[in-house]
Amino acid sequence: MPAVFLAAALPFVVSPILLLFRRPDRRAGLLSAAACAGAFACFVSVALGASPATVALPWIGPLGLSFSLHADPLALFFALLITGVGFLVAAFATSYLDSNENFPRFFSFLMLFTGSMLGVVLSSNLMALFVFWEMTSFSSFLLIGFWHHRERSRYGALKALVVTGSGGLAMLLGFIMVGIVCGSFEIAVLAERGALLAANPWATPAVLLIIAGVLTKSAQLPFHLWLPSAMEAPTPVSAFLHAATMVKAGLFMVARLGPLLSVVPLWTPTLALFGLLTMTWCGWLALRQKDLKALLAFSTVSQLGLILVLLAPAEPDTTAAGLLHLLNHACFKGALFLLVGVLEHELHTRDLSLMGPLRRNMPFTWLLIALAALSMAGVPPMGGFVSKELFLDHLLNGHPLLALLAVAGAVLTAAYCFALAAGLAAGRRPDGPRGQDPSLSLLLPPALLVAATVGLGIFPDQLVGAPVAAATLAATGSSVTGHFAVWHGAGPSLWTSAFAVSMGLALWWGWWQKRVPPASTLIADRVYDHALEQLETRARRLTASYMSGILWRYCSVILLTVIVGVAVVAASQGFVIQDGWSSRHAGPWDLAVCATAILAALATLKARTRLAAILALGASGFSLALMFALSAAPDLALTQIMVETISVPLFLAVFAFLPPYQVDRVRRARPLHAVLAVAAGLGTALLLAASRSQRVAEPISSFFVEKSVDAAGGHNVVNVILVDFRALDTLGEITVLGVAAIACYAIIKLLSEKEAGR
Amino acid sequence: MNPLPLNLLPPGADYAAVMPLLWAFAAAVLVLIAEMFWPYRSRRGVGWLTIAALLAIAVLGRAPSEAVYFGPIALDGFSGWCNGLLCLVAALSVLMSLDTLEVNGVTRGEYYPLLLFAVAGGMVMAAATDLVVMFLGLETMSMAVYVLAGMGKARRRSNEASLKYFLLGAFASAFMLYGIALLYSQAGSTDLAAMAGLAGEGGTSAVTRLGAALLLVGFGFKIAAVPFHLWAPDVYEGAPSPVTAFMATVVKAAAFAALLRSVLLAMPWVAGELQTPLWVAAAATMTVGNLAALRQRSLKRMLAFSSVAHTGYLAMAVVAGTSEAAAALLFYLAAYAAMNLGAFAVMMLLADRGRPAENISDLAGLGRARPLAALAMTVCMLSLTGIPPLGGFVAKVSLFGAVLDAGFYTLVVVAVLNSVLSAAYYLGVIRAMYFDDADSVAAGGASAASRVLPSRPALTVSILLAALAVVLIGLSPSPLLGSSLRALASVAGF
Amino acid sequence: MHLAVLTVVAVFITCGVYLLLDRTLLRVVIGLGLLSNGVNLALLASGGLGPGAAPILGHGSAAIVDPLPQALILTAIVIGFGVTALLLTLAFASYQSQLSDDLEDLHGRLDDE
Repeated sequence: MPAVFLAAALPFVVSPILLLFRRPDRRAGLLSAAACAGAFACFVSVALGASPATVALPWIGPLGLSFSLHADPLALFFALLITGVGFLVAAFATSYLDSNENFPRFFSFLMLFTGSMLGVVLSSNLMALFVFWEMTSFSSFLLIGFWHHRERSRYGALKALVVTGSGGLAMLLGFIMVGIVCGSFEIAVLAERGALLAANPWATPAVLLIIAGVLTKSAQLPFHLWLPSAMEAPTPVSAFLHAATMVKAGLFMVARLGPLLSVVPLWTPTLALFGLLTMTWCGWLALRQKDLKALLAFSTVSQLGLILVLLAPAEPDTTAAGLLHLLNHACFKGALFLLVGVLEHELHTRDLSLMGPLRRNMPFTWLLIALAALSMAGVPPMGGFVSKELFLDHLLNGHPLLALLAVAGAVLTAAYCFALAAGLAAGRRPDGPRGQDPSLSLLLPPALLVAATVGLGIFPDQLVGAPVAAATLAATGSSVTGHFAVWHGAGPSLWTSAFAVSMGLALWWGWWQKRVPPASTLIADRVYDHALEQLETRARRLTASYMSGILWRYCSVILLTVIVGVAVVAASQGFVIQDGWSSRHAGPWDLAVCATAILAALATLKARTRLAAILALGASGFSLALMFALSAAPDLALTQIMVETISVPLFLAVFAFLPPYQVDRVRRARPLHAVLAVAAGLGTALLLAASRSQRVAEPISSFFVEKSVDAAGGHNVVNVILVDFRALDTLGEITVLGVAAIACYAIIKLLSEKEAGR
Repeated sequence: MNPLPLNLLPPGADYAAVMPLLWAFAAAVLVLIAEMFWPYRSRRGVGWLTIAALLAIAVLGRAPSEAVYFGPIALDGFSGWCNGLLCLVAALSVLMSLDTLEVNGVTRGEYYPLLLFAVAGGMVMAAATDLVVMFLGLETMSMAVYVLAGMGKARRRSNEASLKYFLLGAFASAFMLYGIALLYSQAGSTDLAAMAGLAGEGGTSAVTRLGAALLLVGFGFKIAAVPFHLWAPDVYEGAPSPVTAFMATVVKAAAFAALLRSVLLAMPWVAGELQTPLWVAAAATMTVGNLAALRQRSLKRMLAFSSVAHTGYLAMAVVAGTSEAAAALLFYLAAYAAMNLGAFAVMMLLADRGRPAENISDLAGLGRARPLAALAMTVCMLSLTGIPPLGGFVAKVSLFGAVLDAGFYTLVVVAVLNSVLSAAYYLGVIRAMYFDDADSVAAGGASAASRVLPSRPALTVSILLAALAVVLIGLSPSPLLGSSLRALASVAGF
Repeated sequence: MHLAVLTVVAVFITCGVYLLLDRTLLRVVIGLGLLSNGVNLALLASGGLGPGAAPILGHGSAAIVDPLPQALILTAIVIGFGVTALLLTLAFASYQSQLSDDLEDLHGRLDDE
């Protein structure tokens, strides 16, 4: 079995197995960590060329869908990141979660997520990719709502699902359009068909829909609302999903499809603009948070904006920088989340303003937080510095307004990083809770991540130069020109960087301590809540208004629809009512019978007693029989007379039991009913009149008439048709009667059972 | 008088074509007689007999490699496919009703023969190549279902549901009959083969168009398309749950099968000439169904509106009018039947003090009380939403894709948005099962265990079968997709 | 003749629909009866009311009317009878269980919530 397939399937296999563990069994965590480590090892072997990178599994042949996995360097880059961080997070969570938590469920969900995420990066088919994409949303929903007894958790879980799930469906629509325009859903095939897309008018809407998917998943403006609410998840989940991996699925999509979709001129500028705005605005929001996880959440959104700007142009140099920062961010932000988890565990609060001084009581924890924060601030010689230099380099060459936004974002980032590191060192409250450093098993995973980000600062090229270059080549199709270095000369970017860091320092020192206004509810949050509420109440009100359960209203709706429909067709087409009728002259008998029928029908309306109404109906039926007789239809006349003879007593028998007959119960709606009724009657008659004059084909009946005597030996053509040519109709008609009889029997027995039961 | 010819068969008529139908009606009569003599205490035996009969008909009803005809009845790949679908789905619905009829107050044994008559009527609808025969099949099915809906003994609603359904149904039948009359007046025949010829140069006449429209009104009632859907929630809710499950799957599938053969295939001009009203009806149906389903507290009523919404998706195939869309429609019907039956079966598992419990809140804690059933329900809800890799997803992809191919981009956008909307209430069910446990117990509600029927093997098996079908259709859809394509290819015209 | 028949169809349908929209069960049932009578007559008219003899052969060479609609109407009349019978039974059952013939008493749904 190929290593790629094994690695991708491992989490899915482990996930259900975990559910078999007993609740407080920590071994569930160890098994998950082992699964991640195993998958990691598989990917390493693929990366070293020891195992084929492609596996094909057919799925829906006729629709051209397949479940193929293709581990090119870009996919491997992400896969190694996912399984690597996944391993550390699983190990951390094993000792982090309280012993009374539901371990099997937690790790089962976590593995479900890991598998889906691997699916997203490894799929070589857009449809399969979408499948996994939505599965990550769903498993994220389960993980955010893990503490489902908390109202906020459920709210956050639903919000994340609604936002990312909807974005995913928009993206699906975009995929479908792209797939139809380009004639394939295979990513490899699509990459060569950019020209087809560029020439098609559907490209722009398709690209906009895919951008919606990217922005929702990566929590970019204006969809950033879900990530802070998702912080209700257990902290390891926040570290894994909402810092290191899932939110980067959007960025992966940009890297993956960028070369194809950037043929549409809208792609790069739209993404870059949203990225920059998000980076700056959410940096500002992060600065105003008191809750450490909220601060990290907004900081994550802001950093993702930065990476998005780098990936948007789909050019090798910026892409390489973006991938490097993505890796950096996974390390320092993952570490920060885990460490905040440690703080919450020890101090029982996440509120920055309530914490005591950490430096002395929890020196290692604080040191790790400080190092990670410095990396995020872009202070040399941390990993964050290297990639932020490249970012500034890229933007300083662009539009001055964008450069200004970028610098502002860098300043804000530095400010909240200092606030985080220094604020925790001294503590806002000398008498606040102090705590102590946790055991090694909780410190080691974040320490490894911090070590990685420091290492990325000092030896960037040696550590990840080759994989990033390979991934860039795979993503953009061309090679990187430069290489990473912590020192690359004193250029404008270095001065800008120095300026940003010192301004950040000043902003923190001079202002943040006292005057920064605390954050209020997000506007987007209010919009979301309002929209959801409105949707629900509107839906309920609308339904209650027409689902009244009252029969005549239902009938009126049906009638009105049909009448309006007929009227519209009639008005637009124009009925041709010529005298296409060849009918015999109406004799006095005819007129008398017609008049009787009309009178009888009208009498049913006016009858004041039940008996009168039933007799009037009977009279109309008998006059109909006479009309049949006069219209050369003796068989019909006989049948009609027989049916009426049975029906009238039946009516009388049944309705003898009913309460006094009431003629007009629906008073208010009477005019409407009258209008509807007259429209229906007139419409039917006019349609009938038109039907004769617009006939296009000759009736088939002449065949029956010719063959009646020869083939069937009968002279009464109607009878021959009934019992011979169309005997099946008659059989069907008898069946209907039979079923009706059985049904009547069942109802009557049911009634008598009820009587007996009373 | 001529001597009777020795060969009584009219030329070109093959009894093989009507055999499945005859078997079906014979089975109904057989079960009716068996039920009379069956000891009252072991009614379940009749149910097993019914299931055996349905499975046998599913096998006997398969199409031969060459289509055969008996006058206006065809046994081709299409009717063979529909026979299989109707019988298997009906068999599953009977299987789940074995344990639940009593709780739902259905005590009369006529339940089984009436159900078989309804299936037989549905088979006639799918096989008819003549509008009158199709109408007769429809009436046979409807008569049986009207009464089935009213068979709940202890329920006031059941009776009301039945009456309301019947009155509106009879009204809709009148429309349909008048539509057939108008089409006859234009085509001079009620045979489907004559219908295609109605489109002359410059399109069809206004009368033809209105005749087809009235025919569609009749179908619209049966499939519960807006604005003819108003009966559905009341009736679905009022009818005993096993009957509701039957109506939502078998009756809908039969109506769509007839719609497919008699309109989509026989009157290809309908999609073009009535495009706007069909478009509006499809979009309105899915939107109205989903919006209304959002706020339902009753699971049964929610499923009723969800069924309306799915009618909207299915109706898109009629708008598109291509053979790909028609094949996708067939596939969707099968996937929909499986996931819907699964959902109904899990709902039937719930009972409160010997009465059916049908609210979403009654599901609370099911995840712990019955993990397997809850898992099956999760699968069905995810599939109804259209979340991959389940059957509902493949169905939606193939249907939406076919409609896109036909050029109805906006309609597909509406459908996708509706799918998003539907996620809210389908996932709400999952939330209730797994997450609402603690709340309801804390609030003094009954614990989940007391709201679940004691062990019912037949019901459990049917739940698992339905969920398994949903997963299988999703993971390996090619055989079913292929067979639906072949079924369509066998109908003349494509 | 056709004008007279068309008038009868129009009146039947009008009265049938008007009654169908009523709240009293019996009036609704009667309405349906009128409606189906109207549709049957319409069916006959759509086939032709032309000058012609009854479709019985062997009585001279006079032209006969279109027999097929008559066969269809026969089917429709019989089905209509089945419908009526079943409807009456259901109406009776419904009255027995609810003791009302007012359809608005039957809607239940909204008052229960």
